[in-house]
Amino acid sequence: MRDRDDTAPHSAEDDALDLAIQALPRSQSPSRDLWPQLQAQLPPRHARRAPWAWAAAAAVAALALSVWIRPDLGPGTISAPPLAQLDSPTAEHSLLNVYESQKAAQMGALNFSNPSVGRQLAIWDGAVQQVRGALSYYPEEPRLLRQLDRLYRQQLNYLETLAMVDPQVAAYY
Amino acid sequence: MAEELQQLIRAAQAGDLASFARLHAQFVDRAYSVCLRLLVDVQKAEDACQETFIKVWQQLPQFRGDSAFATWLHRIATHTAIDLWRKDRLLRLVDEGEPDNQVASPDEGVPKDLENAIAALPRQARAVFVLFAIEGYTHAEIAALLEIAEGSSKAHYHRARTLLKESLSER
Repeated sequence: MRDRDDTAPHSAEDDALDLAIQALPRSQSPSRDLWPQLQAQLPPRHARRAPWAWAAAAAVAALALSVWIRPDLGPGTISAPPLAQLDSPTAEHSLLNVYESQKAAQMGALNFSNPSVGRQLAIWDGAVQQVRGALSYYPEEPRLLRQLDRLYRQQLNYLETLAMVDPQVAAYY
Repeated sequence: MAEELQQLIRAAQAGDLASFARLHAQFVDRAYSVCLRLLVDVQKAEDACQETFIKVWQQLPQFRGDSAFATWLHRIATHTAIDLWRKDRLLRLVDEGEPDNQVASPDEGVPKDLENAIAALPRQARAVFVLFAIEGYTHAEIAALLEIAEGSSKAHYHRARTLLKESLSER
């Protein structure tokens, strides 16, 4: 850590500033654990995937997205394994661990009587299941992991918004 | 310790994610710190930090140990944060003299007065001050990084010191 140019004038205020600079911490911790999200974004290091595999993954992602946009289509044919059956620390598992606990904490702090809130969350849950189903075929596919990440963030933002507004107003959400 | 670090680096170079996770845990605070001080926004600093480690993961196979790993990683973090800082400036079309509105809240126990005063500096003066006084770059290096003249870097630095002294004496 450097305090000032050699040619800088010297004063008591300079000394005080230099001392304050020296006391600054060299490192600061982020407010949250960045690893789970980073892990989901890391490109695979193994051999390049064949073009047909990328096309298939994209098709599965598009299918998952279309079901999410059209919830009236009902449950899809792809099913995701329950969280308890995941026995390896995959990127998907890491995301689920982080977001499900955050979601549970936010849900626990809220008390909604309006069924539309439950319906809205069910739509997101359905989309999450669809993407997880696709991930069971392509476990490290970055686009699917990003989609999963986005879905959870949308849910958490929604819950956070509900928590901030007046309970009477929240009844209309 | 150094041998353990070398083993982690070699394993991560070979694609071992668990080793890379340990490298991340060891160096994330230092990388985040320079990003936060330059960008003064928690979300942007986190984004820059994530981008830094994605670059590190991608470039790690080419890392030959010519410099210390920490130095190499820190350079990537600094460049990444500066890229975001530059894009942010272009996007917002902010007056150079206008300080950022969103000031980060440092952790408990750090010298908050100075951290807040640095965060409130005009953008260019803050960037120069952080790079010179805290990160140890030379004015020539800063001039290249920020694409300004070396004399401008020195002028911004002295302006930053003057503003910081005024700010601290007011408290």
